[in-house]
Amino acid sequence: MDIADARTEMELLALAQSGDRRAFGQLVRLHHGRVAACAHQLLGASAEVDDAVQESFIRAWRALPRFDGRAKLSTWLYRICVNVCLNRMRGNRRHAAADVDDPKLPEPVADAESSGVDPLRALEQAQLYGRVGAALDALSPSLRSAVVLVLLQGMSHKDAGDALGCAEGTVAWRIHEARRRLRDLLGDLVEPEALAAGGGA
Amino acid sequence: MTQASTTRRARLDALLDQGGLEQASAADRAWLTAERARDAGFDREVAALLRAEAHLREWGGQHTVAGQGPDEALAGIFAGLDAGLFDDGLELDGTPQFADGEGDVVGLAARAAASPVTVAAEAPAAAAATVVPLQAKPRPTLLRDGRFMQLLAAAAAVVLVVTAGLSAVSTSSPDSSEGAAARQPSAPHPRAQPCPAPPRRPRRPPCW
Repeated sequence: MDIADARTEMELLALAQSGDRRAFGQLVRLHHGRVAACAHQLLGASAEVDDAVQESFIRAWRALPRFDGRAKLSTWLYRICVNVCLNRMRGNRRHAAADVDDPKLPEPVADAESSGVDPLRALEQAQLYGRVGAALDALSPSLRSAVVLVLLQGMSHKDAGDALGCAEGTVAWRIHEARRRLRDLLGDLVEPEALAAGGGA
Repeated sequence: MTQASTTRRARLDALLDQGGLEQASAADRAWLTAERARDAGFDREVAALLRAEAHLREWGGQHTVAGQGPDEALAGIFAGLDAGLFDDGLELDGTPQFADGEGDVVGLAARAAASPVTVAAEAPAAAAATVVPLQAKPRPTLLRDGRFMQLLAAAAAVVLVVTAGLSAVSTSSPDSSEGAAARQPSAPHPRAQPCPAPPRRPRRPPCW
C-alpha cells in the first residue's frame, strides 16, 4: 500500500510504522492541533510550547514500533505530550506566573475608537487569564494534567486514565480535587459574596 | 462530609465533566435546581464552581494554538529527526510518573539515557530505576558474603597440616634418638595452627 492509497488513520499508522515519513507527516497534520493545545495548556504561556510539540512528535516517531494499538493513537500521543511537558515543567515553575505577558493574549488597547476593543475589558481579560494561569500552575502536575485532558481537551475519564496510566476513579478524584482547589485559588473571582461586594469579575 | 453530600457532589462533578449544564439532561438540570433551592450552601458552592469552570474554559480557549502551524512544525520535526534530536533512549510513551498526588514531578525516564549522570541528577527516581538492575545483578556464588576468603583460609590450614604431617613422617624413624626425642612430651611436634581468617575488608562491587 502506498500513502496515496491510505485512507484511514490505521492505514497511515501502518505505513508510518514501516518507516514511511510521508504517512507520519499526515498523522502529524491530523493530530497537531490537539497536541499543540495540550502542550500550550500544560505549559501555560511558555515559549517552550513549539519545542514541546516538536519533541512530542519526534519521540512519537521513535516510539512508533512500540505502539501496539491497544489505546487510541490520539491517547498515546497525549501521553507522550504529557510526559514531554512534565519533563519541561520540572524545575521550571515560572511560566504561568508570566501569563499576563503572553503575546497571544489580547493586549490592552489605548485607542479604543480605532481598534473597536474596550481597553478596560481587554485589561480585565488579561488579568483574569493571568489569575487562571497562576491557579493552574499552583496545582500539582497530576491534577493539572487531569484538568487539561478532561476539562479542556474533553477526554473521557477512561481515555484520560489511559493517557495518564491510572484508573478512571483516580482521574475522577483528581478532577474533583482540582475543582475544589481552583475554586479556592480563584476565590474572589468566583465566590458570590466577593462578586457582590466587588461588582463582579 | 456526609454520605449524601458526597453523593451530591459526585453527581455534580459528573454533570460538569459531561459538558456542563448546557449538555445536561432535563432530569439532571431539574435535580440541580431543586438541590440549590433546598440548600443555600450548596447553591453558593455550585455558583462558584460554575464560575471557576467558565473562567477555566475561557482560559483554555485562549491557549489552544502553538506559535507554529502543522506544516512549520512538520519541517522542524523532520529536521530534528535528521539531526538525531532526542535520540537519547528516553521512552516517553510510558506511564507518566507523578511523585505527588501533590508534589513535584520526578523522573520520567524508563531507562537510562545517553547521559545517565544528567538523568540521575535531575530525576532521583529515574536514577534509582537505573541503578536497581546493577544492584540486583547476582554476584558469583563464591564471592557472595565473603565466602571466598573463608574458603581460602580453610584450604591454607589444610595444606599446612598436611605439610607438617608429611614432614614429621619423613624425618622420624623408630630407632633414632631424634625420633625418640620427637615423641617425648617435652618436645612436642610442631602442630599446625589453623590460619586465621584475614581481616574483613569492606566489600566492593565487582568490576564487571
